[in-house]
This record gives sequence, C-alpha cells and structure tokens, in this order.
Amino acid sequence: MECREIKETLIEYTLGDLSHVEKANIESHLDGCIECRGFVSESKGLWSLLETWDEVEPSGDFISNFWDNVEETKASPGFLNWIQNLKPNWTLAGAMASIFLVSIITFGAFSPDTRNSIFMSADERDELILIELDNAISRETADVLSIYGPWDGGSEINGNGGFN
Amino acid sequence: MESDIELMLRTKDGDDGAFSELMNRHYKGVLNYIYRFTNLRENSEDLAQEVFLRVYRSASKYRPEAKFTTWLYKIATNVSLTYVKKKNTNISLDEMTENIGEYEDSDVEISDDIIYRKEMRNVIFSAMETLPEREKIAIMLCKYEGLSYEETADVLECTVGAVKAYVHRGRMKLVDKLKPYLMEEGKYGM
Repeated sequence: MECREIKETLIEYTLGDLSHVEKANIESHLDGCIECRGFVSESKGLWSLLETWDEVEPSGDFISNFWDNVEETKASPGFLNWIQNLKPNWTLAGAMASIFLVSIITFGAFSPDTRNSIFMSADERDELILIELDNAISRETADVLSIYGPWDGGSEINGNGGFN
Repeated sequence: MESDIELMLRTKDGDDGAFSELMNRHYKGVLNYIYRFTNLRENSEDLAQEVFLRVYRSASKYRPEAKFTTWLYKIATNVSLTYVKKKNTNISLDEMTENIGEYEDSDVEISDDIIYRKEMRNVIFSAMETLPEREKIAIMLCKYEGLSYEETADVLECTVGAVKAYVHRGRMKLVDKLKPYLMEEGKYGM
C-alpha cells in the first residue's frame, strides 16, 4: 500500500469500517513507514488537542429566564408578533369576498341612475315656467275675450251692436 | 425515563413542565455548541434562549419524524450561522478572541494552566474559522456534541458518506494548522 492510499483510507480505518485484511494491510504499512505513522499520530493528537477547548457552565437560572422570556412575549405581542401569528383563514376570507360581491351587485342594480339628474331638474324648472306662461296666456286671453262676451248669458254687452 | 420525543409531544399538548425537562437535558450542550461557534460567551446564553424559544413556538407543528436532537441542533446551527454572519460585518476576529475570559474573576490568580487553556481556545477557534462551514459544523457536532454521523447527516441534510468526508477533510486541515501544538501519541488508534 502506498502512503497516498493510506491517507485516503484513514477515515475508514479510524471508524473501523475496514475488513480485517485491509486493516492488517494498513497496520503493516504503518509499522514500516515513519511518515504515515507520524500522520496518524498527529491526527490522533488533534482529537486530544480539541478536548482542551473547555465547556462553559450555563447560568443557574437558564430555565427560569426562558419562562420569563415566554411570559414577556405573551404579555406584549406587538404588531410584528401579531403579523407572525396571523394565520390565513380561507373560509372567512371566502365569506367576506362573497358578501362584497353580493353587495356590489345588489346596490349596482337598484341604485337610481343619476347620470342625467342635472338635466332632469332643468327640465322640471322649464316645465314649471311653461305651465305658468300657459296659465298667464289663458288668463289674458280670457280677459281679452271677455270684452267681446258674453260667454255665459251676455248680460254686460250693450249699445250699438254690443251684447247685453 | 421518557424520551425526548415523548416530552416534545407532551409539550405540544400544552405541558410546559415537559419542555422544562427537555431544556434541562439539552441546554448545556446547545449553549456550548453556540459558544464554540461564536466564541462569544456573553451572547451564547441569549442565543441558546432564542433556540429554545423557536423550538417551543414550533411545538404545535412538531411531528416526531426525526430525532429531537437533530432538529434542535439544526435550529442551533441556523441561529449561530445567522448571528455570526450578521456579527462578522461589525466585529473582527481579534475582538472575538479578546472577548474570551471576560467572565473570569480578575481577582483570582491566573494559573499557567488557565493561560494555556485560554491560548488553546483562541488557537483552536482561529483554526476552526478557516474551515469551510460544513466541515466545521460536522467536526463540532461529532466531536463536541457527540452526535453520530447519521444524526450529523440529518442536521446538515446530506448523506452519511458526505459527513465522513467533511470530518476527514476538516481533520486533515486542522492537523496542518495546528501542527506546532500537536504531540505525538502512542500506537495508531484515533
């Protein structure tokens, strides 16, 4: 076995994933190769070196702090939390959309057409003027005709060629 | 003893005591994982709180499809990565390494052993920082958190073979980086 192969199969060797024959081959190579033996030793030394990175001790009140945080979050939900907690309610959304559509259709169908309202009011005013004018003409005509009466009995006409 | 999954299912049903038990089992591991990731002691506890808050809030959607620890460390990894990426824009590596020991009592006489360990923490952290993200995470989960290759594969969402390769490659790179600090050990086994 060559040194390059040893380094490539070192992980399987480390994990014990090799067959007895392969393992024996590697160990035989290691016995006779100073470089590979040094490599294996360094690799083992690395794992021991990493253990010098100590653990840190958490504060004693980690769990009570956690529940305090949970309570604080519940007490002040805030707008952002409200948005985060907002869950889409498709049934409600569908119902609202239906109501909206029905409202538009209903009010659209029964609301008065006000597009010509200005002209309508103008027409009404004109009509009133015409009626008044008509009445005035009728009265005037009647007055004029009354000179030549009689219209009902002719008692007022007299003199030459007049009615009595 | 109840399994983590059983406790999580009880949490899902509204049993906060079950979640306290879960935290009791895992908060030290999560805290140290985040600490080794960020090398910032004072923020590690806040970030660990954030991890458990996320787990707690997701309890209603929990499905026991994967092992609880893989889910937990996946969240811890995301929280740590987000924090480091955000923080790295504002803080230098020197500031991060200087931060170590802030919580140590300055009145206590510092022994050679403490100085050595402090130095080694800085050296190891700096070497780890040079590794690609996945190699670093794989080594931290396997070496420090004791996760199996299968569990680490779940966290990293890759195959077991890929995890083995990450650990192996990372290890070889660390050997190169930390060669001056390595002492030769006895016969072969690693």
